[in-house]
Amino acid sequence: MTTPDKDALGEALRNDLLALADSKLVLANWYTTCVHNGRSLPDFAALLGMATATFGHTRALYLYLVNLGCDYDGLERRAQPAAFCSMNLLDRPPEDWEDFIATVYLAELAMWTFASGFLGHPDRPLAGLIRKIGEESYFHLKYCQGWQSIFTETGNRRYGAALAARLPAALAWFRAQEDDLLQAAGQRDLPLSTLCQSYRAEVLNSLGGASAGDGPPASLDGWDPQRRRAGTMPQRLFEIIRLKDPGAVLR
Amino acid sequence: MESRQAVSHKERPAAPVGGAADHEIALQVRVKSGYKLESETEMTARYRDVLVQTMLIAADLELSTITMYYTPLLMAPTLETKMAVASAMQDELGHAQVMYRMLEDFGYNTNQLIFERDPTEFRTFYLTQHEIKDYIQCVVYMLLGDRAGYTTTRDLEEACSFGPYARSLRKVNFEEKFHVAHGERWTRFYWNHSAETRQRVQEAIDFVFPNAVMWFGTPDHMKKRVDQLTYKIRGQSNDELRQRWLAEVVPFCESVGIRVPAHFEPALGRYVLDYQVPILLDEETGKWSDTPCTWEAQFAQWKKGGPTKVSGFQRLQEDHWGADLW
Amino acid sequence: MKPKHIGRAELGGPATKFYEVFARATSEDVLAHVGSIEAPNDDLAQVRAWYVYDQLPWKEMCVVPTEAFISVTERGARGKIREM
Repeated sequence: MTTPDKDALGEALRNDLLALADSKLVLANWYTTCVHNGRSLPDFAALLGMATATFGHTRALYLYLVNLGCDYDGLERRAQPAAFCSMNLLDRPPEDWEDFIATVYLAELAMWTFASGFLGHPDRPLAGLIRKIGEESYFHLKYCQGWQSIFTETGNRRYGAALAARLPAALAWFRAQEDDLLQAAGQRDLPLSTLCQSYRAEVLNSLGGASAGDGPPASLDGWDPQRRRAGTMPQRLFEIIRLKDPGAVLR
Repeated sequence: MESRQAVSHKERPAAPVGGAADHEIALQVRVKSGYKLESETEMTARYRDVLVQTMLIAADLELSTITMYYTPLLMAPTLETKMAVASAMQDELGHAQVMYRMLEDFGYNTNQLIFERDPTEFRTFYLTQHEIKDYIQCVVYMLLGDRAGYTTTRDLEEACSFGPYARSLRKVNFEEKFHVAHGERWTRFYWNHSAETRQRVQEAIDFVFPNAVMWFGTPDHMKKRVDQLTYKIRGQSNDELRQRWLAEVVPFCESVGIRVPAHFEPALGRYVLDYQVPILLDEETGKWSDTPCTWEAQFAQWKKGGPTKVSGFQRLQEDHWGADLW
Repeated sequence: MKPKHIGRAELGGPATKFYEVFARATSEDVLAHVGSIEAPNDDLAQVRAWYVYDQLPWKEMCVVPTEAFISVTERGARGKIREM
């Protein structure tokens, strides 16, 4: 086995963390955009709390990426949708509350499973950041589990259908290049393929065996392994997530 | 909190007779001497009504922030500011939760109040019935508007004769203090940042200041309903609260260099406005008139309400999905 | 429009109940009552309590169904805890 090139390793880590950070940016915007659709008053507060935490994860990851040669302001103010690396799973807006919960659950669990691969990262600040993200994601996942229990108890078939329809896009996000360089170099605790298998098992288990399966795999057309996505973020989604009002930037 | 702005507020005309009158007077004397009620069983019907109406308006006002602060959340210029707005909104909705929860003990159902009440029946003030345009206006709202709310809720925490309500406001005031401090910090920052942001701050102040003055309602000499003070649901009158607010915001603005239409008048020993109330807002231009109007005209503007008076609550009762989102 | 709720239930969900929230910020603090939250199940009660009563970075927080409380001083009273 050859030792991976240091630059290639740095690039692989940068790509993975940016894919995670950008996906969290879009997820945070899901929470804010859907806040009025909350089902109860404390839901409004919870959705805003999860938005705050998730924006915070993006910001912390962007700040960490400065160590890997990125420019923080440049990351925040990217002006083209093609420059973003968010997961395809979050491109399409939720169709109803069940789809919202299903997608948020898939996204939160995917991001946490993916991030947990860095819990043992040799750079301790990164491992610490990931641990903190995990502590906060715990509540986001519990929120989803609370709603899942309701859907299960009330025999809500729409939820299972929404989950099955979205799952292939979530699984696609884990695709590794031929070699998982980071894992081979001891920077990721487990191979991505293993993380993906454990993710899939947990999602299917959450359905209590009532799953209709996870559907056909997502299309590979236009897959960009660096950005962990196919194609470009929809323009209308970009209009929501892009930071505005440059005249009021705090620097 | 009680104000002529609460135009749909219909207090029961209480006319206690005989033993009932004695009961009312006895309660008034007890609360004046500092007694705190702990349970509904200690209340007269009139006390209960004034308390419940006060709590309902306060709860609706907290809930209205989900509409007020939504555009600044979308327009925030950085991730840090997005987090600040989202977090402040989370706090405000938490306050709403605390207040509606209190109302549950008086027979109200929070879900019915929020999701089934006619949106025209929510009661808020003109200050909260406008969409905040952007982050700079948002920090000015925190400076002046959150400070106005904080002035009211501090008075309730300090004075309210219903112990559970006064205690529940500890959390509210603890968090409001941070919102006001955030408003002060960033208003000062934008004032000193660039000529363009300074102008935006001044424009926001010009828009918000007269509206925040009105938060405290009509002058004391016009007030006909005084039950809130009689029963010590609150401690200070409209004018006293307004004075307390002016005494905090005017020196701050003057220290930064921001122009506000009010100053301290040494001969009177208090703050005075540089314009005569009431004045009307031109909702098309967002400008306040230079000349006073009649109180009838003012009440009519309050009754009609600002642009989001009804639509904000209506949105909470609707589902928007799919292509409605993006 | 959002779906209607029926009685003591929230939109699209089953019946709800109240939970009392207790927390302490440091190991020196007593575990104190900080508020109350309504939720259809224990998971949502925990999350909602965490986000509504987040005024301090709690070291410990727990929720208890309000119905589990028995008043000692108010004989015969239904389980209820008043704010703090």
